[in-house]
Amino acid sequence: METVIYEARGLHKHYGRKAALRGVSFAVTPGKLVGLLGPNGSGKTTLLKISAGLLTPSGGEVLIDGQRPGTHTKSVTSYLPDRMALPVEMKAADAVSLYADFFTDFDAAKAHAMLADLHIEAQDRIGAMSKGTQEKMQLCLTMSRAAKLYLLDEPLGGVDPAAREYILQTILRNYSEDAALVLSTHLIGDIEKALDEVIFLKEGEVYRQASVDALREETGQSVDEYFREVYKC
Amino acid sequence: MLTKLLQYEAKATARVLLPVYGGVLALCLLTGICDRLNVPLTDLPGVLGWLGALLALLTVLALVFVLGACVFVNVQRFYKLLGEQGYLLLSLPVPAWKHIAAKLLCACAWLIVTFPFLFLCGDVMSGRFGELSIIWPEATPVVVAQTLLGLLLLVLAAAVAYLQFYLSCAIGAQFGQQRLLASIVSYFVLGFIEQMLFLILMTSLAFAAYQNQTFWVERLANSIAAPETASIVLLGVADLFLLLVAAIHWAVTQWLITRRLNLA
Repeated sequence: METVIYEARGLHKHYGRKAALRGVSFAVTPGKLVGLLGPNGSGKTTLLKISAGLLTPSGGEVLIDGQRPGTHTKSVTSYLPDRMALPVEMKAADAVSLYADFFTDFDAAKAHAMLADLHIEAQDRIGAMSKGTQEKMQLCLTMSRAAKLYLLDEPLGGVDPAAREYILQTILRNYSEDAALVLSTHLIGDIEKALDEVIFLKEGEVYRQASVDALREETGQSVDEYFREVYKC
Repeated sequence: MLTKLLQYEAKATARVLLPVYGGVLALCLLTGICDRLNVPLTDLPGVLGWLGALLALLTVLALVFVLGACVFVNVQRFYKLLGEQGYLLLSLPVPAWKHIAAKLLCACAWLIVTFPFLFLCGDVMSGRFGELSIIWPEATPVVVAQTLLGLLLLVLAAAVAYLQFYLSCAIGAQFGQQRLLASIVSYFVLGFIEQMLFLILMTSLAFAAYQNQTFWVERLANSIAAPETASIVLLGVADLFLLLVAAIHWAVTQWLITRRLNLA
């Protein structure tokens, strides 16, 4: 039986009367790069926040490495939120130290090398960096961990095409092949070639989970074309 | 992990508070120097007299501001934990109680440091260092116990006050929108409820005492030979009561953060 690193079981989340997730169930195995696809408001961010232990589900459960979100799952999961979470008053070196202090799987040398590639000096204050640089820095820190599971929420959103290419390459170069990576996006064209599997979320439900090759073979369409067809307004 | 959290907390708060404390100390020094010039305000030209008086007033306000800044910065740190910074801090492999503990210990430490600092500011302004004479009683076991229990009471009171702020923030974070407003309203509602509960508790005790034709404290005091020992018992009871209130605040806050977390 194939090992499962991530499993969502009948996950529900309501914000007041509005349902964000409605019985979401799927599993992810190690070594897979999975695209969590869907338009805005389909529940991608909510799902990843619940998985990262930052949001409590209204029903159902998430199991990471066999456990519900908690201290253990946080130690094996590298999460990139859809917003800037690094304290802006910190310097780049402080942020690297923070990750090194709390995550045993963090590779500080790797992080420093990645930051040097971005021309970020250790003494640069995060608040003084451009939004794009802040996002790249956050991604570098996230990808400098040797985690079992990476949860990346919209890493390609809101950046220019050149930055998108950099981010994509950073992700592909730095995630361990034994790890699973779940990445939410609606910019499929940029990431399609790298994905092993796709999960389509539609109105809080899993519309479809399939391997990219199988989907292409079955539909005769690229994932991007299929996405446009499924979510046609 | 708690030590590391404490270090980060201390650094983050020091980054804001140390310049404030430094500025206020400098202001106190300036006021002290002006005062040392020993020119009566009435002898100065009108404008300078007004400026001198204004400086003295500003210094007094600055001393109040220091205390306010100390509380505000530490409460804000907790509020931010349930906001955007929570996306990083709450994804660290650290249990919620350690986050609460680190913030509370740091906040209480700042408050403890602030009071001697205010005395220092007073000394700098007056230029009379160490002239505040305190007549220490003989250090008998009873006096030591009273002093320690009294100090513990002050620390616990500070902890209860901070934990009430934290609980209000945690309640406010349950709302999808207007979280700051919800936190402020929660603070006042919590305060009202707690005052009502305290009133009911005290009234019940008084009523029970009336029914028994005696007051329980008096009975307790009478049962103990020395009145000093009775004061120790009373301080101990007060400490335990505050400890209980702090524990309830802490438990509910921790429950909200672990079981009902709802980052915006």
